[in-house]
Amino acid sequence: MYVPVSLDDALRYLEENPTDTFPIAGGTDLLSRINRKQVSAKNLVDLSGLPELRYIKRENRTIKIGALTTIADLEGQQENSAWGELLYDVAKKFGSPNIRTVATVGGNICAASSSEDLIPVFLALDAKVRTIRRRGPREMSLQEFVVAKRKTALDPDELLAEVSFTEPNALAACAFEKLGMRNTLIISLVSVAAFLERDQNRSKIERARIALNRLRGKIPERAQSVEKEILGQKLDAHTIKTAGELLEKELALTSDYRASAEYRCEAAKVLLRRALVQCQQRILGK
Amino acid sequence: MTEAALVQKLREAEGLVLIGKRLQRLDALDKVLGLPLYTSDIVPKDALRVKVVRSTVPHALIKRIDTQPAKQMPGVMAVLTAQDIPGINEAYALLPDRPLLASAKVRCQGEAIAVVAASDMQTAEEAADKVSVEYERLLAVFSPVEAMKPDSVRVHDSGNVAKYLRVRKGDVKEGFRQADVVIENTYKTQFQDPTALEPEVGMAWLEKDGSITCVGSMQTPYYVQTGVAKILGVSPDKVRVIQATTGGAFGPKSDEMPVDTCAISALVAQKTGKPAILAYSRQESMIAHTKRHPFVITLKTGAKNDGRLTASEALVVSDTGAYASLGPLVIIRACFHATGPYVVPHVKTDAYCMYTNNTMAGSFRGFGSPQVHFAAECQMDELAKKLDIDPLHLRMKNILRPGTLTATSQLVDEACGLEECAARATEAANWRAKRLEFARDSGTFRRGIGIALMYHGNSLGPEGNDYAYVHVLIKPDARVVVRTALTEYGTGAISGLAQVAAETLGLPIHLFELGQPDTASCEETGPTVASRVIVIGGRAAQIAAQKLREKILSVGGDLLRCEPSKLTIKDGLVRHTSDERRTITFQNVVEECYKRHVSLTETGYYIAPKCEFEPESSQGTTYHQYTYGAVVAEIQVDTELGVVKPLKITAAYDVGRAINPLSLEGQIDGGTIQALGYGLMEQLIHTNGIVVNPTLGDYYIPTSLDIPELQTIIVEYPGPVGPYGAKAMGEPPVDLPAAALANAVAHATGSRVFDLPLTAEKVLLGMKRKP
Amino acid sequence: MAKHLVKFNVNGKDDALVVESTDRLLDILRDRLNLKGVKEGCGTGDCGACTVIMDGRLVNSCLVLAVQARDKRIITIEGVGARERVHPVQKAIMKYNAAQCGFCIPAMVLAGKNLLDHNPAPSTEDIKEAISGVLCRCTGYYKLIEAIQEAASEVRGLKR
Repeated sequence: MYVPVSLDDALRYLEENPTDTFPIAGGTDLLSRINRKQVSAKNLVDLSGLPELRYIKRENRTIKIGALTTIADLEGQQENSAWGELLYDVAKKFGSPNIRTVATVGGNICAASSSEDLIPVFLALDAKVRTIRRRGPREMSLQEFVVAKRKTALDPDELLAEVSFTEPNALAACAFEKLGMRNTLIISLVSVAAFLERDQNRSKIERARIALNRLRGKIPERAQSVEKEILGQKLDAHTIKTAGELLEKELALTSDYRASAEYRCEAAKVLLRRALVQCQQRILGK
Repeated sequence: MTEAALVQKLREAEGLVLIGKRLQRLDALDKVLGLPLYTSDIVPKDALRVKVVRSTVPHALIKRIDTQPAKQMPGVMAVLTAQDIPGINEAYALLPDRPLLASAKVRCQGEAIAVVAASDMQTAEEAADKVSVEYERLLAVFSPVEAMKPDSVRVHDSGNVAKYLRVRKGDVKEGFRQADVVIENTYKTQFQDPTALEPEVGMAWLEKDGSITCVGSMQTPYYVQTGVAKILGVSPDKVRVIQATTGGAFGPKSDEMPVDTCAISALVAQKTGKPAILAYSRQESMIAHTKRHPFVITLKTGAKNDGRLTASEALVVSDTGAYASLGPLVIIRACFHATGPYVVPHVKTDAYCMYTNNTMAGSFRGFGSPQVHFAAECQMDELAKKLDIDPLHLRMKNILRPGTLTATSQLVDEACGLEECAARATEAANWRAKRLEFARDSGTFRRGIGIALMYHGNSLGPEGNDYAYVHVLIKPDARVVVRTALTEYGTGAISGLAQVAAETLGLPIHLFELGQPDTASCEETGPTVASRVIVIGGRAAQIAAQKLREKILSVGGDLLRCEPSKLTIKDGLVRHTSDERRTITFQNVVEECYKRHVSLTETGYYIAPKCEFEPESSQGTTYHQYTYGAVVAEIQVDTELGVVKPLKITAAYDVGRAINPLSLEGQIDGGTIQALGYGLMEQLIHTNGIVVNPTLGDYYIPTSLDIPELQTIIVEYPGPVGPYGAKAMGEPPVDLPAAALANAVAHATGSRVFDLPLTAEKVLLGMKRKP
Repeated sequence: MAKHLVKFNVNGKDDALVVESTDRLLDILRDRLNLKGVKEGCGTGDCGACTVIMDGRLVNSCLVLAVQARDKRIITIEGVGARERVHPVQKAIMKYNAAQCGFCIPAMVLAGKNLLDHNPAPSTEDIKEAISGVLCRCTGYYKLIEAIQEAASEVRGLKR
């Protein structure tokens, strides 16, 4: 294990040791996998003590969240806004209080699987990620960053530094719905994050972003066909119902011992409807 | 007058001081300070760490085991296989069907094949990975119903039936002829993992004289002594077993695992001369230890139009996995209780305990009762629906009452509080009104209310000799030690024994201490299972305490110059009942006893009368007393997702006599939630014999955020066996909640889920299937 | 295998240990500092039996590497109450016989204490939430919740 004295030091170490090196922050995913022998703990780089990457800030109209921001930080922020509520919602349902203390935004995103609740949430916020390495930073959409199950676009010498998104305006609202086998400490069977923005006249949908923990594969994705279809439609019960039906066409889920594909599909439709209704209520409430 | 005040008054009228009092457990202070030492807390510095190599396939011949690469690793002190066992390679709870270490064949995933001992855990694990086992896979059977077919794969050479028994009462053909309606349904239940917070662990070392001492997490030290001695090839008096503080048990720690952990550690200790500890990982624990038997139960029930039951025909099949463990006893309890607590004139029950190539099922709190009550109570509701009778009304028409006969033709005695339990639970839950109110719910969220009743034969009944030894001794400082090989693992029952002894001796509870279960100082006392500590152990404690009381009063009478019969013990004093001046402290009498060499160590022994019944038809006395209960469950179903949210559980139990209501409530609380998990979210899933979710992140037990409101009602109809009429209450609280929840869900949705757990998917699919 | 010198404060006492990279905080507390009250129930962060308070928050010590605990203030059950003077949470757990097998109790006491340190007037929901990361198989949670609720009253009473 290497304990870097600064962010720069961490990047230097990664550059010099590209093979089998695992950055560790909260460790809630990585250590569990090491314990189950899925990953070997040969070279760990401990990022937990680096304060530079732990922040939630607003710069102009962009919200920026450092990769080492903990889930407890998200739960503790008092932002009385669409994005603040959304992040509070997802944080409250994340793991357990014990997990939230150390689990990080970056750790969750880099785990890159359908169990990671923050990914659909940030997809719905149309988030970008910024990575850093000694040869220079990169920026890309979150979609591009999460490549496949357990695989991100990170090069071996690179770290995820920040997630950012444009602050939703007063015409927008977000919601997050999650379904598991009990009320807490669960692997989501289905989770849905939704973002809706209405037009100036308060009647039609100007922007829509819908992300699920699973759509067609093993990682979270946006339901872009559904988004396209509801754009420009009235923000009413009929549109919301249609969205659910359209989702069914876009879904290609698989069955496993936890639940069948049919049930996951049915649940996804219901959760989408509920998330959209919540967005609608939050918009109308403003 | 409040109920509590009334209870207090009744107790005082009986002259009871401590029985019925909400006393603090004797180990409470230590526990809140984190002081109790569990096995992993007392590991000697030089102890070797043991890792077991386990089978990864469900059914195969073992062609070759190569331990050489492991043996050669630095830090590895021993690698053992079956041929290294000096005694007999057997580790079974009941039927001689299971080796400690497999050599020729494996019959399920997780069977122990080889053992690696090293100076640290990491080395042991790495070395274990290096042991290679070559398998020749065999066809396998994973369903108990499949296993019954004549052409099924055979798990054991003797066939797949580990146990068969039946109940025959009257003539079911005649019973069905008399019926106006007949319904038939099949119910299924799942593997439930015990999930004690402390996984299995056992430790052993050699004493200077060559004998072995084992310390471990266990329910029954003497089972471990017998098992370890046999494996080591020594006589049992060369093996000392001590139960360490045990972090939860629920039944499986009375089956094979404690023998496994201690015997394997003992083999390593014997081989290397060093102490050794085998601590299971959670994953290993969930694969290897015994679980609750899955059951497939087909019930055919006949009744008259007015609701009177005329006939019950049941086929009860359990899946005991690759080795029987206590499956043959679980099936007995299931068989006898399969009708539910009702008067049924004609009964035909056939019960089979079947081998499969799944992992083992064995003892688990409830012991067959939760499974058959799920089926029987769902069936009663289905019958009620068919007859268009209120489910409570139907039950009241048929329940066991004093003077009626059970399915085994046992006469129900006066100690039957079933009717009062049903009446009080439904009254407290506002049954009638809610049945109507909830039925009017429309929209996405619909509520439901369901009921289930049970009877639970106490203690071992037909399962074996039902006895206990409890030692009570008074120390020179007048403190009292209660020592027994009956064990504490969370129930508080051993503190209950002290409470009974204290009542008999007339002493305050703060004088009492509990000894450690140790084969070196405690007589063999049978297993700590079947909720029998208070019922059977309590009688033994009373007997021991009574003998001591007589001695104290005899010496006291001497000192006070009066007849012992004129004396009483109260508040730490021995005093004359009519002359207050003639008083002496209990302490003084004790000192005098010691001066006179009057032994203040007594052993109480109690054995319950044998249960006599006809073996072919199971007609007769199957248990000497019964606990009764009624549970009402209120839930809310999200009809779009199928998610069941439990709102409230109202539970009424006839406990005979509540020795310590505070501890009793704790058992009811915990049992109810364990059963809630069983009903709604727990399932240990095998796919082709491999456990796919052996982790607590993928096997869900209830958390603090999953619990409903719980109201508990205690009813007392003193039974003939337990001290002061106490009945078994360790297990009964898990018998009914799943059944009540299933009935509540059926009420809410109008459709029934016939198998546990009631997952959202099943509930939703059930609703969609409804015409 | 790299070694690290780690300084931290455990139960009010400053300490420094040389640890291995892969040592978990759980192992250090139990094996090096002999704090056996910290239990291992699963090793995967799912049961909470290994809970300790770290810089005022609950963590699963099986998921924290010893190196990551550097410069932190850690409280285990051994740092809460004593025979002669127990913490209100401990007192209430005793009163309600809320400790059964005892394996989750160190974690439950810490969760209760930490909650009351931050919020002396918790609702029942707050209490359920605070202990939601610790599994208990024996008690059904009811008497633990009741105990923490009563301890809250006592804590508020003491503060006045």
